[in-house]
Amino acid sequence: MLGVLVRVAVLGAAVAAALESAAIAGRAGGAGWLTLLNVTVLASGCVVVLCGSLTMTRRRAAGALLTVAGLAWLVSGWDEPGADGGVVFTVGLLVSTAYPVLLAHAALRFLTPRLATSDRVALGVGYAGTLVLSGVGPALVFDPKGSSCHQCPANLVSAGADPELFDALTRAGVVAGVGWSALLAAVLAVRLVRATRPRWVAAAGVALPAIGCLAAVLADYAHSMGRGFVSDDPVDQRLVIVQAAALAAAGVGSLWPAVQRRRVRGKVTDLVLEVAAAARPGRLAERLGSIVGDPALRVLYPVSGGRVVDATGTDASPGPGHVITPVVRRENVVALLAHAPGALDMETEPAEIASVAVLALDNERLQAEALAHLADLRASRLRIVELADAERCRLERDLHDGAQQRLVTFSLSLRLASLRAGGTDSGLDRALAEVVAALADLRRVARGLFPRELADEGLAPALDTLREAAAEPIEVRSVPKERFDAPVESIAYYAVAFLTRAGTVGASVAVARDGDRLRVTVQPCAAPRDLTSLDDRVQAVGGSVSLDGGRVVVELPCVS
Amino acid sequence: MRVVIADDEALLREGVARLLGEVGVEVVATVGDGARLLEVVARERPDVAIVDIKMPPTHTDEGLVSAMAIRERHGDTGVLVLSHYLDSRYAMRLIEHNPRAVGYLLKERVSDVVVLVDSLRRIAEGECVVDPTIVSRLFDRRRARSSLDELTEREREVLALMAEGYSNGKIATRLALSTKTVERHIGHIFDRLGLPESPDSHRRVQAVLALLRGS
Repeated sequence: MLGVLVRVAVLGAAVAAALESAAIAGRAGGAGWLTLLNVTVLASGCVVVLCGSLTMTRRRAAGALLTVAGLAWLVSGWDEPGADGGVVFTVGLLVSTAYPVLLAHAALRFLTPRLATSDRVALGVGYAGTLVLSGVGPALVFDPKGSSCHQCPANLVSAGADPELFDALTRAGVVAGVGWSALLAAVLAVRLVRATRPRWVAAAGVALPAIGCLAAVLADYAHSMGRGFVSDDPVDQRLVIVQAAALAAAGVGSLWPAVQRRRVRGKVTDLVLEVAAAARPGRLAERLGSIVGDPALRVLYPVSGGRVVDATGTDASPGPGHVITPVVRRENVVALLAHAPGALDMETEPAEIASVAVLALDNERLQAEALAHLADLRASRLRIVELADAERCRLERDLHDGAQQRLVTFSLSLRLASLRAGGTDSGLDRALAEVVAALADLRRVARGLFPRELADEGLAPALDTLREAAAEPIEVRSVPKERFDAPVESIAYYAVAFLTRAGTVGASVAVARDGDRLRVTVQPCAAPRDLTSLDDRVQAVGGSVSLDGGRVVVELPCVS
Repeated sequence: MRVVIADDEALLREGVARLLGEVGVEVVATVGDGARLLEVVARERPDVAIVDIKMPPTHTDEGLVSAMAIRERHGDTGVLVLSHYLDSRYAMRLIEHNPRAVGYLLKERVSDVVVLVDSLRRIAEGECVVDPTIVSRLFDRRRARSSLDELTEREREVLALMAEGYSNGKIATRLALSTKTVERHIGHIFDRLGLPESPDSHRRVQAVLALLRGS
């Protein structure tokens, strides 16, 4: 509300200033006020004030400076004899040359959030030159009554007439004008060249016309060096028209970022609709990257446990040289954008993306979180399977190297005792038979725990031995001789053992490698009733179990 | 008969040594690993080396590797490999490598002193001996399509005894048949298994390997 009031007041002041300038111009020339020069000057001033006041909503300081520059431009013709009263005339005397410095100041504020010391020094030189040497200085020693201008209104700040000092100060102001206008144009040019891409987009619309305007001001001061003051000969008039055009362009240019924002918003809206229509992890990052002009842009999501994952749920970190910009919505970090430094306009684009794409980002974040949890579960299931296998393998070795050896040694002792007893102690012989039976049992248990040749030699020998030990004949066709990851070998073996268990007659087994898949096909005579326990193990390594007619097909991922 | 014993379990190898001592077999040395075994065999030139299949460092098949090395370097020393496993893979490796004067018995057979000493004798005589349990398991196992299925019950008995390393005369005694009948059975087995004409000892080994392979 206050903003609207301020804007109305500023626009009112601009219209009033323009009307006064028109009145003064009308009194001065015989051609009336409606000349090309006057119309151009007044129209451009009004455009700048209007645009500057609109820009103020987002860029308060820069917009305000642009508005003030416009007002200063509108009052630059007030130091004329036709001015209405001493106040108008005196204001004209003091600030009639100030607008280029104000415009440069506004452009610098568009280019950098904080002015550097060098910017401040250049602006200081400009303000000193225009306000002191060309403004306050000559005004103090100018008295219209004591000079040739008898129609002029009173100079309210006059301290007495000193025409020689007035001329000297005016001349010094012209010389200084050449200097500061060149200096400010150079500073602006350097800042513009060094600006990041988003900063350039935001500021070039003001800074480029401002440089043009300063060049015209510079040309006018240079043109006035000989006579010692700025006048309104045809060259001056043309240069004023150039300045007016540049000024108007700067005003319009200040609105460019708002146009650009609308464009981004529109594209992000399209993106949201598109992503909603065909969701694919990572699509959002691709499209956002192309919108802000950084194809390497990545969208990362913070998930529970302090981890950061990408759209597929994989742990991720920003690429080399990338910076992280959080996308924040109601104080929650929705996503992290990892991008090349300067690819994003930090002040506006993350907020735009957050406001429009929050649903798409939230959706992708939830998906990524679910995928990350799924990957965790898979990894933990695989670890459980590996651990169980390792444990069974260890038990198998322990039985062979420990219990079996002891029993064999024990049977030797019994035999020795029996021999010494002359072979007459039937109790000893019975004990010996028991120990030998225990050894056979032990071997069976050990083999059921984990087949030794699976760990030592691989899948093919293990299946060979399985076939040899089976109660019913099993046909084992083509098994690859190569080695695979331990969990893959053990699950392939388990699958065959499970599907050809006792009671299965005429089973046929084929194992084949197909690229990065190991396919185990088992044809039992009747499909097993419950494949759950097999499915659990197979899924632990990311494989699948399917029924194809009477056959069970187990597919396992393998790399080697 | 002079033997050396290689087993990484000290208690066990001493037990076997004492048992063999009781029945008059001379144990000239006992060692705990494959490298020492090869040294002792080179020095002592025993008739047979008894080798546990599992020995340091990996406890998988070091014993088998040492046994094959002995057969390569010392033609007059036989080897008896003691295994922990029923499956025929290791036995096949051993016999395929060199079928003369080798034996493959289950570990617990060491307490069956009659079988042990009998096996040692036959190995020393140059025969090839496979554990009876392994042989009978190979016959019990029902196979899909095998030329062994074409053998008669009697021929299977003869083949099993051949695999256990018995000579024709001993097989005849055990089965209460005449040597001539046994020879006829063996000729029939060779034909059924499709073994080409060659010296008899070679065909005998081929027949045993056919049994181990299950084909």
